[in-house]
Amino acid sequence: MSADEAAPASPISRLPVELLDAILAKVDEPFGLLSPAERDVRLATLVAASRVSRLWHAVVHPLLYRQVELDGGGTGQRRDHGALVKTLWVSSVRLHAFSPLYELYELYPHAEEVKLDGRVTEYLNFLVLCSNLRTLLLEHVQPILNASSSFSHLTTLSFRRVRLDLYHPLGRNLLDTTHFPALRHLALLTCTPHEEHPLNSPSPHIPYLSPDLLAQLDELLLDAVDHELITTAHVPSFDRSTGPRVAWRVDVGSSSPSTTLPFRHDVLPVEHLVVTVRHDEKLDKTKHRRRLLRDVAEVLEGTASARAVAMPAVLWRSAPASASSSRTAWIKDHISQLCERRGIVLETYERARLERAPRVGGDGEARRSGVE
Amino acid sequence: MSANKVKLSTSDQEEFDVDRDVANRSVLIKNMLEDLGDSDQAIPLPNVSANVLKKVLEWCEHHKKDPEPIAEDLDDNRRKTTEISDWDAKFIQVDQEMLFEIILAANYLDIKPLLDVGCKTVANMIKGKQPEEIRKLFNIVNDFTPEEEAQIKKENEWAEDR
Repeated sequence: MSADEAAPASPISRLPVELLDAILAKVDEPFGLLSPAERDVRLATLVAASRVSRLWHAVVHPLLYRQVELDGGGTGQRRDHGALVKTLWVSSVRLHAFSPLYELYELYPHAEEVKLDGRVTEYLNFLVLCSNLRTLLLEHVQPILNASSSFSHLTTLSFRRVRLDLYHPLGRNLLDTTHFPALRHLALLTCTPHEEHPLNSPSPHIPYLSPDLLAQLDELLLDAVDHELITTAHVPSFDRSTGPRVAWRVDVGSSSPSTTLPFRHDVLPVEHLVVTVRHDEKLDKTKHRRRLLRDVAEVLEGTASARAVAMPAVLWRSAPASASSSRTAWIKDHISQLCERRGIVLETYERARLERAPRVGGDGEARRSGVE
Repeated sequence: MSANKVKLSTSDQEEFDVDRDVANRSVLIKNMLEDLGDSDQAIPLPNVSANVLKKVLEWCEHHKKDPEPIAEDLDDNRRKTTEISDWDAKFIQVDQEMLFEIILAANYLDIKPLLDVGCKTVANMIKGKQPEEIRKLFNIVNDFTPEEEAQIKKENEWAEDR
């Protein structure tokens, strides 16, 4: 079948439909890889492509509704095509207007990824009814779940900019294998502990991760924007004999180092250590730079001391233009020396590429070689 | 013929002697070689002309040491992207006729990474363009009736409301 039988001279018309589909599917990149502006370009391009010809319309139509972002405007058409939706992002504006939110599972019965972004406290037990839900991303939202909720198919759970504390509505001990029996990827990014949290408490109550859930995970991402969260995220009861299944990716250097990180004996093996130097004038002072280096060394040493654990991949995220180049060069140079002494390759990554860096699995050599 | 060489025959009866590791980038050829065992016979490629095969082999030669993509990678949405490496971007700077021939050949020969490069290139050509610009770019005739066009415009209103 040709793309346009009326125009046989067109080279694109010689492609079978499945190849035209493969091409247009490239336009429909996953939301998670795109900035808001890029998501707008994606949508505008798909809309334009659907108006090119009958064949293009037939190919593009399902793609138009595969990923939907509700951030304002009417939802009628998208509701009509709700069965096509696989990825649904609801932003703060819509989250308030979404009435009622628990209709989600009826309107979008095949949604596999749901992202809720808004400064609201929501009961999310209804999401258990979304039987196809594999990925749940919560930003700002304070989720409330009760003990009877079990997300039997959920494989990815991400909290971003969520406050986690003793009184967190997620509830103590909910992050376990009973409630998340299929969970493989967990992210706690830019989360902050409660102000009253006793930082020096030996009890690792943030986050409430059960040891059996940790053993089940393939990936745990923490962001050290607030080092205090890292401090309290250690899990001393974790049984290392289950092996280094958990791939930690820890950002170091995102803020001024202020806390000694208890990596040496308490945390799980770090697989990806990401060193970022943002615009932070404190790092102009040698004292703070040396503290940052000490943190990096702690991570490397703590990882190497764990049984059956290979060296982590150390990734250098390119510093933004605003960062002082001399500061960046000094830190990079010293981290290079640290890595060299341990036989670790320091890779350089752009932010966008880092986000897409594959999880390193397999044996120690694979880990040592870093990310392709 | 050396055990490390493979003979390929194109639709226009041209023959190419190719290193086996280069030819093995094509899953189709690799499977045929495994089925045929050691043979001096040329492998017929009736859907690929000599000038296209030459170009495809140039890509295979450059990428002959690339690791095999694993199934998990192919399905991994987190890595799907329209980014193309510098070498591939330069390689694929060809006229439309050749571009679509490469895509067809990569599909026929089952060379997924090359097919991916071709599809990404066309996707990047489409990005940000209006319907009329896309039609003009690829010489596509608008076969919608005015009524259909109005219907589709209405159907897509939500996207413009955002």
